[in-house]
Amino acid sequence: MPRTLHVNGNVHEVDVEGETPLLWVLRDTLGLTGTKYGCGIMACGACTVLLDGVATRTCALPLDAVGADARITTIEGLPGTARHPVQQAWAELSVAQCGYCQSGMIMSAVALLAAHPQPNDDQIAAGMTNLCRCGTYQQVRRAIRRAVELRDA
Amino acid sequence: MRSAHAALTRRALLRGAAVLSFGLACAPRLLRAGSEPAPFTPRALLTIEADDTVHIVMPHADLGSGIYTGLAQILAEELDADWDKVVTEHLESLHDDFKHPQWGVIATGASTSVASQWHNLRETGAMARAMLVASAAAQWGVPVERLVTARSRVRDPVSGREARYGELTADAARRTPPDTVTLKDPARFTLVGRSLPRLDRHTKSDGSAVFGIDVHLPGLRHAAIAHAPVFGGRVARYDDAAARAMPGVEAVVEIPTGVAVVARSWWQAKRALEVLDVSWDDGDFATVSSDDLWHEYAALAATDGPSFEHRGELAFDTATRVVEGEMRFPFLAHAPMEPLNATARLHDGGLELWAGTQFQGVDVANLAAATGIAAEHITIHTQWLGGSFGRRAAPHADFLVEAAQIAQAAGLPHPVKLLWQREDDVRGGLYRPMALHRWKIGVDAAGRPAHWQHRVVCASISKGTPFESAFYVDGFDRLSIEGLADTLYAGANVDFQLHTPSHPVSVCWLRGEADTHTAPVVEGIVNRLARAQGVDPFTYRRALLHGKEGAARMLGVLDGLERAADWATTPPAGVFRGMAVHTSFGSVCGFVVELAAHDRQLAFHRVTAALDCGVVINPDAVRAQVASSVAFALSMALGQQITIENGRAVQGNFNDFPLATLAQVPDVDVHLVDNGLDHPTGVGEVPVSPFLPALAAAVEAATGRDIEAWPLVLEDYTFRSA
Repeated sequence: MPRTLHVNGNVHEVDVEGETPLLWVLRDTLGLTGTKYGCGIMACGACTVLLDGVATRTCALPLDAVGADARITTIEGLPGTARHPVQQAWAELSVAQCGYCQSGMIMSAVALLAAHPQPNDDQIAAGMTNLCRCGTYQQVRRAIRRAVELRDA
Repeated sequence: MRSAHAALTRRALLRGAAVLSFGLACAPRLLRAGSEPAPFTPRALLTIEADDTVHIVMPHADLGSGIYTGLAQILAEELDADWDKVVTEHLESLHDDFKHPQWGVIATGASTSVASQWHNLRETGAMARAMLVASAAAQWGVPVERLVTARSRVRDPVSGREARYGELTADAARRTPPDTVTLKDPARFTLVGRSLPRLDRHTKSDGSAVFGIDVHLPGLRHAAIAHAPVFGGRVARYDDAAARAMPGVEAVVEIPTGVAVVARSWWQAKRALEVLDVSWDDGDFATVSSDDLWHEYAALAATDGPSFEHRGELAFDTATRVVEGEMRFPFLAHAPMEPLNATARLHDGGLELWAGTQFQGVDVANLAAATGIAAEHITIHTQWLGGSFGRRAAPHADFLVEAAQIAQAAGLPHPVKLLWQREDDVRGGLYRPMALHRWKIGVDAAGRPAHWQHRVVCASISKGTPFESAFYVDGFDRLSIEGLADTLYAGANVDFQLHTPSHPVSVCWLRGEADTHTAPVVEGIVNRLARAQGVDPFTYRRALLHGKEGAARMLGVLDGLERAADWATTPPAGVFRGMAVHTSFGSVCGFVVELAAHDRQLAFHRVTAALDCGVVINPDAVRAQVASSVAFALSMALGQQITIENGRAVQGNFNDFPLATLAQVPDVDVHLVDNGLDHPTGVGEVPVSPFLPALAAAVEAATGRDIEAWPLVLEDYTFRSA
């Protein structure tokens, strides 16, 4: 049954089975492939988007569980490396290695800074639970601190 | 060579897909053919456009280490290119120019990309520069010797005349390449040795980088596959009635490695797979568990095997002291963050594949053999790959072959993207082999290992693969013993033996390779011998290596590490430390790990690394590799293992095959050591292995117990996260 989905400021009409995880609706139906599949059990965070501003893993989140008025922001909905302090910091510090987990990592960082504008080390550790096999974690920590500087500059 | 503009447009098409058609993508190339000056392509990997853009086709896949940037820096250096005009491109061609300079096949691996391309890329850049200079000299009627180049311009200092490279491409393209070129004096390098930001930093920070999983083609269909749960198992029979009745399903096909569902979306294919009724012929391995394998390995380790290194005469009765020990290493999956996938399109008797792969040259041969399609009719479009660590260097091209076979069997007029589930990857084999080391060492009066008997039990990675002739030498797989065979710590009497059992669990190279078990063993032995002798491990290593042929770089790294880690300073109370230094992939890397122990909790106090990787192309990128490798190594230490029950892998996903998290991973102080080498050596694989024994030594110091197995068995101790 067709339904509407608010993604990155746009309203989409989608017609897929309601049990389809939001991740696959974003990727295969809407073509927003910046959000990634990593595990299918919400363990790795590669599929993280903002759902009404909250970092949310979507690989096992059925479309039916997403409210009709929910506002979804994916990596494509952020303003980019020239304008968003988190993305700017990520580019400046060349955080990404293979880069596959970084969309989810960046969305988590955006949510972290919304909840904790001046995060301490423990808040960064608690808020950034996304997995990265390349091991970019030290650079992620630095980039979050750099994003705070860029935002406040 | 394909025009760069067309390539870029096609890539844009692959991304946003739904709104474009393939015909549109080709339009820019057709339009520009007659209306623009000719680009200059002195070799297949380099094109300079009339607008000054420098396109470099990457002969190797960037698995994440940043080699695209590093390789571009090397070429741009000799070309005197304007760095802002440099664009890297994925490999699309199987031209001979892209073959690995040492291996003779298009492939990426063993941390050789920068090291092996160093000369080739310098020469290519210098040659192109010489031809551009020759064009300017001819146009201006001046001798080439007086012209200078910088930032993609040729300048005549006498007349002040200047030309952009782009103004010279049409003429340069008609010139004969010079027989010899002069390479720059490294003292004049302006790009090599600089921490330039990565060229992929924007597309990998805004979601626009296209990985294999993101490839979109018109009419694309999606496949999910059921693999045999038992290693060595096969499909006995299957009933696809229920699966075919599921929404979106268009085909259910059997291929040699399983049964696949092809549907309009991947989720539909996966859901249909859940109701697909497959009976498996499990085979003989269905009763085997890890315990059985360890019993077999331990029995082998108790007996003599063939010696791969034998010199002198073992005489333990003459030793001052004899020590014995054992260390076990489990199977490990690569678990790259992007699950394995490939997109196959059949048309006009040919096969096109889109995938992130390290092994294009090897893949083509495997694909030709598996599909019956001649290699010259197979194209591989390399994509960004979401990690690999060796998994996308599949000796039999498993996931690519499956995609092609599914497309063939489905017989649909559509391209098919096969995407493995995470569990297919973690349970699918090609693991770092499980390994058992046993040693018996007779120590002389000075505490040195004068008599060293060592047995390794490890299945062969290369046997039965296209790499057997390269690695399986004199009955020994070098991939089982690298890092031990040539240890500089051993004395005059050595007998190193290798047992090579076989089992249906397939094994493969994993980041760090054999050194992930040989380094923890060798460095662990050295740390324990020093401890038993009551000698500082730094001093002990220096004494063992002093005067040994080939030890200069290890000594240099040891000294650098000792200074950087303030080793001479006694650590504060409650802080325990360990060190290790190891040579692999042409480089030397050492770590000092300091752990704070409190209430049976261990926490990282400080981690220091030193690396000699020869000429450093991009210092920040190298430091990032060393620091990030600690997460990879820590995952091995703190819980990763694949165990076998009833012939099947027990673990299946990140919940039971855990990766180290941000909270667990310490900051690392990385020091680059210059021992005067005049060329680059390996980086990406190198730091994983030495971290493990440095950590183990610190854990042993803190807990008072010797490490005998990985992942670490800490009993009543725990690692505290930040």
